[in-house]
Amino acid sequence: MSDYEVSSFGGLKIYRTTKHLIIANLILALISISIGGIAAIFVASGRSAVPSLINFLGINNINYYQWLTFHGMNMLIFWILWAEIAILYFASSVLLNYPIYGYRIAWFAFAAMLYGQITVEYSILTGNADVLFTAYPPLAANDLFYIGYAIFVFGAGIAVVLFFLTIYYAKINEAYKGSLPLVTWGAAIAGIIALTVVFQGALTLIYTLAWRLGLTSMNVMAYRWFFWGLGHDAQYVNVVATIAVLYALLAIGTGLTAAKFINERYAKVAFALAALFVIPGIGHHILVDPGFSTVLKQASGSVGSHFLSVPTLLHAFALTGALEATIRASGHTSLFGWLRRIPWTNPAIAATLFALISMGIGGITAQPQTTLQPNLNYHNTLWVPGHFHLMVAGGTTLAFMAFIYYALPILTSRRLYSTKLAKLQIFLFGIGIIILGLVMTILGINGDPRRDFINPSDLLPAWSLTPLILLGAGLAIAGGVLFILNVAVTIFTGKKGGNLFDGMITSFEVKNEASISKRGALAICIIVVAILLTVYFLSYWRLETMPELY
Amino acid sequence: MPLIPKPVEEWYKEFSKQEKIWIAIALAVAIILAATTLSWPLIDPKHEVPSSAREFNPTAYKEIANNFSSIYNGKLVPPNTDIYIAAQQYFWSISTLVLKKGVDYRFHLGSLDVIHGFTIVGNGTVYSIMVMPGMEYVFTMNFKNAGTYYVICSEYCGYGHGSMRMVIEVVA
Ligand code: HEM
Ligand SMILES: [Cu+2]
Ligand SMILES: [Cu+2]
Repeated sequence: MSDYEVSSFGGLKIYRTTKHLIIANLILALISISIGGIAAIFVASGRSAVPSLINFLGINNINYYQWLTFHGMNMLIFWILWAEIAILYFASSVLLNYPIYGYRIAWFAFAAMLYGQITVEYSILTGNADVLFTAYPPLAANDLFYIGYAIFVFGAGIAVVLFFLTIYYAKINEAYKGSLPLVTWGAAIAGIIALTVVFQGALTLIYTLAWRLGLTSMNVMAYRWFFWGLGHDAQYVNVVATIAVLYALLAIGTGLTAAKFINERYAKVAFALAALFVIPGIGHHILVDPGFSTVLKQASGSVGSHFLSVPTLLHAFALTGALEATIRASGHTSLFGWLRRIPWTNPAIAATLFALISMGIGGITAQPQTTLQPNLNYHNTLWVPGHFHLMVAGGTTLAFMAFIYYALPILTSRRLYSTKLAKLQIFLFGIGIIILGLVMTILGINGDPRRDFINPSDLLPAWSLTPLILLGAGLAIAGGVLFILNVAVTIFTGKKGGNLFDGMITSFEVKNEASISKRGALAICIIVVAILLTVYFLSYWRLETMPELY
Repeated sequence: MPLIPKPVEEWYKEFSKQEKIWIAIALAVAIILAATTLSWPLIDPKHEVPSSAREFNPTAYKEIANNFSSIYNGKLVPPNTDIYIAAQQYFWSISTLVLKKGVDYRFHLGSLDVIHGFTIVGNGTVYSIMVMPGMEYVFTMNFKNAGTYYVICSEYCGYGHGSMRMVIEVVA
């Protein structure tokens, strides 16, 4: 048990058992994002309405949905969850200097997830599960698909429980003193939400299996509510985990200077608020369904979701403010002057900022679509994938990528294969996803539907913008390839010794700590909120130009 | 620092003035957004998600919808006539609906098999509601502008999903 190495970063104890587990989880995360990325090529091309490309790749109205199921499952479910489990193990075992509790069970959880994933991939590849990741009945996949899905979620649930047990045993065995670090606190909030996901996931999948076996009839409305209990909460596991990772990135990337300027109490309160407000948000997924009452839709979908934005807004200021204070402390005083001193070549800081920008835009487009009436205009258009790629690809995925660049050297004492490629990768992926998200958003305004293999330009002229999807997709996919190569080479042939984070940390001297202000960040946050309100009220104004419907 | 455990005294700090301002702004934004959507029915009750729906029997509904289509497909639907539309893999029960501008029409919409989506596009308009098996949506629509509108299916319903269309002609 006491088999550990001491990392040159912060003297953290890296237990061998933990290290192997985390790396195994990361390898599966890498495999999943590679598969999801290959599928992204087909999905983006299929959606681009460029006939020569579509013919060249052999995409048709049958395999398009197969690719889309493959893309959604591998990206949103597999890549994100494998990476999150690795992050939970890191935030508990590594940061608290304690080995993973019950690591044999952790390997069992790993095996269950792997088995579940292989089963699902097999169902999709054999064409038995073209139901997309939402799998709304009565459309049905083969039984294997649901069984695999359930086992994967079950395995992930065990891993979350082990994360909490590790914290508990680290505490009672006095592996650490004082309170949980902010990052572990954030991870724990993500973990609590994840337990609600596992519970609702089990409910949904068992219900579906029972229906498939003829044991019960299927109430489609109930399925949608249960499924989104799982799906909605899962997205908040992602948001919360992403923000925890951003705090870590900002601290590490600035050589721990930014850590001085993060008000941890404020951030911890904001994390706790997310857990409080997450469940009421479920309703924004059924806003235009018949059979749910308007009161429920309003209370849960709209009002609940608007309050769910409060914690994320609080974090946005905490993060930008900490960066501002860090730069200001090294001697910059004008309101926006510090912006020009942002070290964009630092991968952690660049990733943090791209993630914040991407999630900022995605957060703005979230508001009309979560509101009962304006949602009528955006529901099931490309606006929706535009929004969630900005959140979960430009935000979560980019943050996790950067986190892996720093976590791997801490874990293995090996340097990242190429810092240069990492820097380039973050720009390609960040800019690519932001372009992709914006193009989808604009197409969505014009009513271009999501999940639809059509040549849109033959219906409405405004949809002929679709080929622009390829611009964002091309950049993002290039960035994805660089990420996968860089990390894979590091895991297998990374070099030991030397400066662990050569070129990856920017140091700031703190000159006049007393006069630190975060007013620039506050001003930026206020501008963003003003844009948010403008977009919101414009979408109500737009509602007025439509035919009457009630 | 955020990565390492530490005693309560070291992290349990007062909120700064800027943090307090921002908390107030964030809460105010949520309240403004919530108040807008809650008061909208008072401002404009005619642009709303329809709230009326009822369970239906697919076999009976199919007959009503087919009957409606055989009478009115491609012909002007007179005011005060209820419109019945059934969705099915991969077509709508009526292919061309002709309506008069500025008239309130009562629509019935339901699915005979899987979930579909009812999205109207054209003339700068985009509107979507879900079409459920076993549950019939009942709502009123009134087109203020004449022209051609398309109905596309906007919830994935199978391989023919992309070709599931219908036309609404609104005449002056
Ligand atoms: C490499 C960059 C990526 C590209 C080019 C890309 C492209 C696309 C496109 C064009 C769609 C819309 C298809 C449609 O509605 O018909 C889509 C859907 C989707 N993407 Fe991505 N994507 C990328 C990365 C990601 C990432 C990183 C994630 C998640 C972590 C993700 C999750 C999803 C999900 C969940 C869907 C919805 C699937 C569905 O509707 O069932 N994508 N993607
Ligand atoms: Cu949600
Ligand atoms: Cu369809």
